[in-house]
Amino acid sequence: MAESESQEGNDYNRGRMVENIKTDMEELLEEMEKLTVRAAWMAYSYTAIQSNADLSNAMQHSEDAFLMCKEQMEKKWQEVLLESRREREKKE
Amino acid sequence: MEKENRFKLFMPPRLSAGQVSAGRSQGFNRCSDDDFKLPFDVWSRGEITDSDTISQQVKLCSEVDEENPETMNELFSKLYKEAEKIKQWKLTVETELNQKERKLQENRKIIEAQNKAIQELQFENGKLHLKLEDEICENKDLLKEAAASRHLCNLLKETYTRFTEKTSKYEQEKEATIQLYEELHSNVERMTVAFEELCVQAENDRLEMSFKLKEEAEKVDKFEKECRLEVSQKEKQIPALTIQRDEKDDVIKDIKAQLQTSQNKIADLMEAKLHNEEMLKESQVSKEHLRVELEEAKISLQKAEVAQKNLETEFQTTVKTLIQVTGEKEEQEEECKKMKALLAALTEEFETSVANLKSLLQEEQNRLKKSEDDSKLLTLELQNKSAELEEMTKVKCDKEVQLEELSETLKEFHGLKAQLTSTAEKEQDYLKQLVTLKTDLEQEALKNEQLTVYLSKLSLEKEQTAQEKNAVAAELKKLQEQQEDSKKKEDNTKQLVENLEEANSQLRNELESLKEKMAKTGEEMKSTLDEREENMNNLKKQVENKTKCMEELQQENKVLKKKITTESKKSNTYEGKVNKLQLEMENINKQHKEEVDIYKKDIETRKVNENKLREEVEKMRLLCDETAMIQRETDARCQHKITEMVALMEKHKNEYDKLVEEKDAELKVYKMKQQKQISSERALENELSCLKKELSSLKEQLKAEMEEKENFVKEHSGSMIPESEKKHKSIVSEEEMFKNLYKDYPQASQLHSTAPKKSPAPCSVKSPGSALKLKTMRRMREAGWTALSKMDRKRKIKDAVKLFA
Repeated sequence: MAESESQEGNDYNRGRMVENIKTDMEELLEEMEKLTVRAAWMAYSYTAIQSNADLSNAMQHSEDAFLMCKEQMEKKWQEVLLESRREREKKE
Repeated sequence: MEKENRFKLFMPPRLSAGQVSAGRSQGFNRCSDDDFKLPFDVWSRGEITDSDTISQQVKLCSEVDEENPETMNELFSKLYKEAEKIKQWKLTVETELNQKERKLQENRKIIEAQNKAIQELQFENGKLHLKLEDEICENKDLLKEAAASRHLCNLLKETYTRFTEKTSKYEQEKEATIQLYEELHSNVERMTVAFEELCVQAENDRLEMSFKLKEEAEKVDKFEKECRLEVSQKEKQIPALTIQRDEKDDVIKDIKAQLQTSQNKIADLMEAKLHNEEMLKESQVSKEHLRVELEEAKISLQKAEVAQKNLETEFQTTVKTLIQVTGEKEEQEEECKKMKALLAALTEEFETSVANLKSLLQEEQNRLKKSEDDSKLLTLELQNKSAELEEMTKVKCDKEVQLEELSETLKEFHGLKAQLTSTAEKEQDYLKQLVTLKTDLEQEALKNEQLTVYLSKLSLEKEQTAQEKNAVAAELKKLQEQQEDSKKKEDNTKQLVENLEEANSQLRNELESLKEKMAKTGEEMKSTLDEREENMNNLKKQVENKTKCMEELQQENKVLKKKITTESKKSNTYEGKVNKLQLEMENINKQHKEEVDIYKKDIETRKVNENKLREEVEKMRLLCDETAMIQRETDARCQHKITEMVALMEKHKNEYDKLVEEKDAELKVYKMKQQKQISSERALENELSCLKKELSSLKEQLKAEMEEKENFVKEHSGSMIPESEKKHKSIVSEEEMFKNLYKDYPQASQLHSTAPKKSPAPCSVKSPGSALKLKTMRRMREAGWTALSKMDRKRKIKDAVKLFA
């Protein structure tokens, strides 16, 4: 009889355990879904950040502008000086 | 059974059934209840009734012979009626028996069906048990799987948490990177904008620089033009400047010529300077001559000084007079000193008297203190009170003497007071004289001050002359300055100087005489005025002093009167105190005597108490010593006992340890025995199951044998139906017999009552208990067979009785 009673108790606990496992599994499934969503969003964000060409374009623009400035600064001063010399020669 | 018994009764015709049957019917009625249950008892009672009937038959034989034949006929009719009744009863009983046998068979069938059902149920139970075990295993496996799944879930949760943490970190870092990107983007944009601005600024600067260069070129050109113009202009200005230069050279030459002339002039001037210096030297020589003359003037001045000295001699005379006055003053001072000495002596005498008085007072105080100490000692010392009382009386006498002395001292105080007043008056007179002398001294001091003033004036006059000398020297210097003008002026100046000096001397003399006169007059006047003022002041001072002295004397008189009154009061108070002290002393003496008596009594009582207490103390000490000894002995004994006990304990420790170990071993043995008993019980249970099987087999054997018996009985005779019935009955009774026999063996009764089962557990285990069980079974069988044999014998006897009846 004692065994039957213990068996009955185990059955009750087993039922509870099964139910708890079901609920836990459901919760875990939900959480895993959330995690997958987050991971997908993470991947998307990675790709978005990497594919963002604004910085590279801006950098290129800046480089171009810098080079233009350099060229202008180097050339035009020389031109100015040459022009000045020419004018002097002309006057003389 | 009743009728059978009645047959037994009525078998002997001699009996009178009326009285007998009435008496025995009650006994038979009692037997009717236990027909089918206890055949042995019935048959036993039948035997007993036979004996009783036989005895009763013997008794009644004698009584029946006396009755009538009519009653015999009635009896025969009653007998026939009762025989018919008995036959009917037989038939009914037989029908009932048949019915009951049918019921029994039906019940047996039902039992068999139930047994079969029970077997089937047991089969099903076994199957269900197996299923349950399988399901239990499955459940255990499921539980394990659930635990594993739970573990996995926990791991998943942990991984989830880590993942969430990492995602949160990622998000934070992503946000940071986005911000950095944005910042970089903004910086890059700023850089581009800056570079563009730089380009624009560079262009602008270039343009500006070009413009500036152009402008500067133009400016340079203009400047060159201007310079050229200025050069042309300056070239034009050159000849004019050369002309000016020549003119200036001429001017320079003129200036040089002028310089040379000036230099010549300077040389001439230098020569003139030299001449002038020579002149100065000559003037200096003249100065020296003048100085000599000044010295002569000084000599004249010295003469004046001589005159001054004369004056000084006059001063000295006055000083002498002053000295005389000072001598007089000194004499007066000496007199004063003498008076002071006298006063000092008097003061010393007074001080000595005061010291004596103080000493006397101190002695009196000491005596008073001593008396107080003595009185205290009296209160404290109880033993020497008699002597102390005498001492007290002596002290009283001394105190009386002291009181007399105090009175004398008081009288002396009064005389001393008078002396003090006289001396005070004398001191006051002397003080007055001192005041007058002081005033005289002040007057003389004033005179001295006047003389000093005169001397200061003379010094001032000296200073004035010196100043005049300086003025003269200055004038001389002025004359020296005028030497350049002319030498005549020097001579004239000399003459003038001489004249002036003469005039100065004359004037000085005159001035001195005048001053002397004036001083004298002033002095005389001042002296007179001073003397008058001094006199007045002195008089005023004397008046003031006298008034002050009078006031002081009056105050002192008042003070002294007050002191006298106070001292008289004090003396009166002291006298009163002395009287009080005398009364107190008398009272104290009385109290002391009473207290002495009381204290003596107390002392006696206390001595007695002390003796008692000492005796008690000695007793207690003895008791203490004894108790200490007892305690020591007990302590020693206790320690010995403790040591012995400790030794015994140590000795027995080993034994106790051994006992403990033995008991532990016994406990273990008992546990083992219990376990063995449990195992034996289990084995017994197993054997019981085996026995059940055996019993089932035995039952089958019994059935087979019963069938054989039935067949054997049928072969022998058909009329033995009742015997078969009886055998059936006997079978039933055997079963009942087995039940009765197996009451002691309940296990076997269960086996007998139930049909053989197919026990799931194989009874393969054989233990020594099985042998016991077999022995018991054999005994039971033998008992049953003996019972059956006995039954056969009894039936045979009864049948024989019936047959023979």
